[in-house]
Amino acid sequence: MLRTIIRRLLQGLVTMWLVVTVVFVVMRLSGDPVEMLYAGDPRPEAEREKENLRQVLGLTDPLPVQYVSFLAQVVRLDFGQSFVTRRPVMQMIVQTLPYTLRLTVSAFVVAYLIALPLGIMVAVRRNSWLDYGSLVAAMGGVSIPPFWVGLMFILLFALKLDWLPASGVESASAYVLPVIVLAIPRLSFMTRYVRGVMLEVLSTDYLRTARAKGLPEFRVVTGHAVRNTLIPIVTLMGLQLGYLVGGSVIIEQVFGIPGLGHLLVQSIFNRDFPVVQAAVLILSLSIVLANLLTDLTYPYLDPRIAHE
Amino acid sequence: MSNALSHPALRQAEADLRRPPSFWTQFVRNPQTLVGGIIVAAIVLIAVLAPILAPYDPNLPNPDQLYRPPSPEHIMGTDEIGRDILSRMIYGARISLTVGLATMLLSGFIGISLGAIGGYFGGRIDAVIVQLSDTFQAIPGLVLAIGILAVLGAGLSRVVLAISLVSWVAYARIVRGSYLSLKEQQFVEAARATGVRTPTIIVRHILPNAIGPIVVILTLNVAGAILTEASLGYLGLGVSAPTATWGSMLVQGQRLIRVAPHVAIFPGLAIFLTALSFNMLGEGLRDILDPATR
Repeated sequence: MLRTIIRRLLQGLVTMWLVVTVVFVVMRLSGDPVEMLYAGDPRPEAEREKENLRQVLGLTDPLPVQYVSFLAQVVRLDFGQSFVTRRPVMQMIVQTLPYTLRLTVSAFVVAYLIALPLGIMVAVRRNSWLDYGSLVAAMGGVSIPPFWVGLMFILLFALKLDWLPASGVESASAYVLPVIVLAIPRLSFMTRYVRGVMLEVLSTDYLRTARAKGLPEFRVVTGHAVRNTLIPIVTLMGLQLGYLVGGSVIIEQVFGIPGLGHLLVQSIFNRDFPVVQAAVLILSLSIVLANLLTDLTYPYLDPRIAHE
Repeated sequence: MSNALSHPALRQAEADLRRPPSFWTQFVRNPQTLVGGIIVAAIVLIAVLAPILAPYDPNLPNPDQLYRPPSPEHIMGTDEIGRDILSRMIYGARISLTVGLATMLLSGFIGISLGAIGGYFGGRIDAVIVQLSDTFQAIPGLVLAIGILAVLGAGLSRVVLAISLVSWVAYARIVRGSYLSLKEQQFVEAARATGVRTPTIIVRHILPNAIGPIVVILTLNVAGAILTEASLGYLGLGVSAPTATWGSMLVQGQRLIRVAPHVAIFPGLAIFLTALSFNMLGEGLRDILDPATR
């Protein structure tokens, strides 16, 4: 058990290190951020400023040296200064985090609260109208572009009906539309997935035994089937959170939420590379961490894994 | 007395006699592949025939016709500089399909190669490939694509490259699994025993046997790539202006949502319909080609 935990922790660390490396490689392959920042600057003193900035940013060092100092930065969570605001990057990121967390965590909860019972219900009532209806809706939900749904919701619920705010973060009601929009694709995917897992569990021998010994169907489902459905669902949680984090970048843009995704997009337009790099890294590392946590939880859910 | 055919052995014999319906029979009978296939074919046709079908030049501004609502002249209205939205939608299909299909080919090639190599050879090279897949799966695809495009700059081929780099993992996982089990089968052993070269075994002998699940992912990948391209276009990281893409048309639509909502409605519908038809086709193909995972 302890060895399993240690092994998974080590694997998680290796993945994190690789993620950091991927981000470093991607950012350095791009060429010189300083050149991009000063692109089209006609002033004669621009050349000297560029040279200074390269020195300050350490871009004149050989690549392996840059890589090591980048790793050191990441470990200390110190990403230097923003090109644009001159404020510490980490401070800017920490400021945006609460908005993104509120958005993604709420969407995650909404998606699972609907998908779990719905998926289980339609699996039990297989081939019913409810089953077909939710399969069709789920197919639509994974195919619809979320930012378009966002725009249509703003058009309908904010501009036409005036029920909810179109953007901002001033009140809890401002989060209603973005949370729903962000949850739709995940909710659709998870409903189908839960249905599939549940159908598999329902056809297993141990459930036939449970029925054969005279247990009422309700108890068979709630007592035996649901618990065994949970394991593959928990396994997917980290991945789903990853999709939500990616989706939040777009949704924050649609609804004007000043979160991490919004900061990321603004920084791309401003060519503010230290911020872009840090934002991509923080978003990715949070997913690795979430996956690691899931890996560490499921021996508790499934004793069979712990005994391996 | 019970029916003679209820004996298990007899039932099996009867099932063996009945040949399974051909692929195309199943394709036409399955509502998902049928509907999805027809819509996909229609969209491909529209993209190919764009110059004939489009009533106006998609990039020609018309200062007399600024954001007009739909009318008989402009069926889907005009945008903020008076370009015909229907024509831009028709040309936009070319970009979406190009990105979808090119991404499918590139990420399919990367993922299938890595999955086949890892699954067939196993050992250290497999461990490296698995770790690489884990890493790419850990990074939110859209975030990595944004990061890549932020440094590469926009453009059609770069968009394809960025989306491919974040979507090959699905192929690699599935193909690796197939190769792990298929390489133990007798036909592979027979090929090896008769001296067939390893690359030939991997490509000519095993790949055709693993093709079912691959086709499913290829199709679903097109839908995913089209949605991702639209998202990137919406963030201003797509194919450069003034090229008509559905994602960039939506950005315009958002700016005009109060005065001219039709500008945002149609491109979104097009993205939705295209992604939906490829997803339906893919799920239908899964029913036919890969019934085990249904």
